[in-house]
Amino acid sequence: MKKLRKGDIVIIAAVIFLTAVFAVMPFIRRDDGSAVAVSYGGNEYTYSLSDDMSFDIISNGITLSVVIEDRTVRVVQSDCRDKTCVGMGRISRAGEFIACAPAGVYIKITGEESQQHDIIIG
Amino acid sequence: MTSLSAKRISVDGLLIAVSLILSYLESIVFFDALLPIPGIKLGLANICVMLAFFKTGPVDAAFISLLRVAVSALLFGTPVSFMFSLFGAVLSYLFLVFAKYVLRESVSFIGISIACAALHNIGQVAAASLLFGEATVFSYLAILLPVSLLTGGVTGIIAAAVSGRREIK
Repeated sequence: MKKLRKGDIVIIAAVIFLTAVFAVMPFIRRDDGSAVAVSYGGNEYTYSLSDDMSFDIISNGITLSVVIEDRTVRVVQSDCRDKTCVGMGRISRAGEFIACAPAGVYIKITGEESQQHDIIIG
Repeated sequence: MTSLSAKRISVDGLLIAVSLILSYLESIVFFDALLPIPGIKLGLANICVMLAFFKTGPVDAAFISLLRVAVSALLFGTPVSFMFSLFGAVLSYLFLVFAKYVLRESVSFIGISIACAALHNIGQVAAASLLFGEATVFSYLAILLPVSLLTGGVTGIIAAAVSGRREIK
């Protein structure tokens, strides 16, 4: 194997730099979230993060089982092929999300801060 | 190679077939066990596209890449996975063009492969952000990009080894 060339080092440095940029992007809030926004089929539904509950979402013929428990949200089961949403585990902080591409379901945690903004704008 | 020689047609056909086998392997082998991060794949099929690009030609590589994306989506994927792969494949392909005509000798297969892996992830996340109408998806790149250093590095080493030992042209 040949040694790394100058361009290779630049590419590796660029990828590391971009990683850092996306890691500190302002939209990743590290504060605890307060609500769960679930969007699919052009609608958005909001649930409180403090109320434990479980419900099923049926979208694009795929059923997802969502559980809200101990201020965290997770998808416990899905009919889809890749199970990416189940693998994404628990989310609890504002800005974190679970996406299920085949079902077109997007679950995100919203903080109190963003809700206030919504009220101001709305 | 400018003419449609029997050799060119058969080499391209072979590369498409191999890239589909690699896509199939990635769709069944649980790479998750090794790296438990959703949405991560080694990107072995990119070896075929890179070899085609630098050994046969950019036009051949474009056909191989597009056919692989289309056929693997039909066989093992969904319309959504097709859109995700297509975004990633187009971005990676643009980088191959940039590497061939601008970067030239300053990069090796390893750097090219890492850039392709990173751009493939960026393309997929861009597709996801369009699908969900959510910019927050981009934050997932903070996880996907460092992994692309590893997956791109591995596929780059394989591509360099294959290319060095056996000239396709």
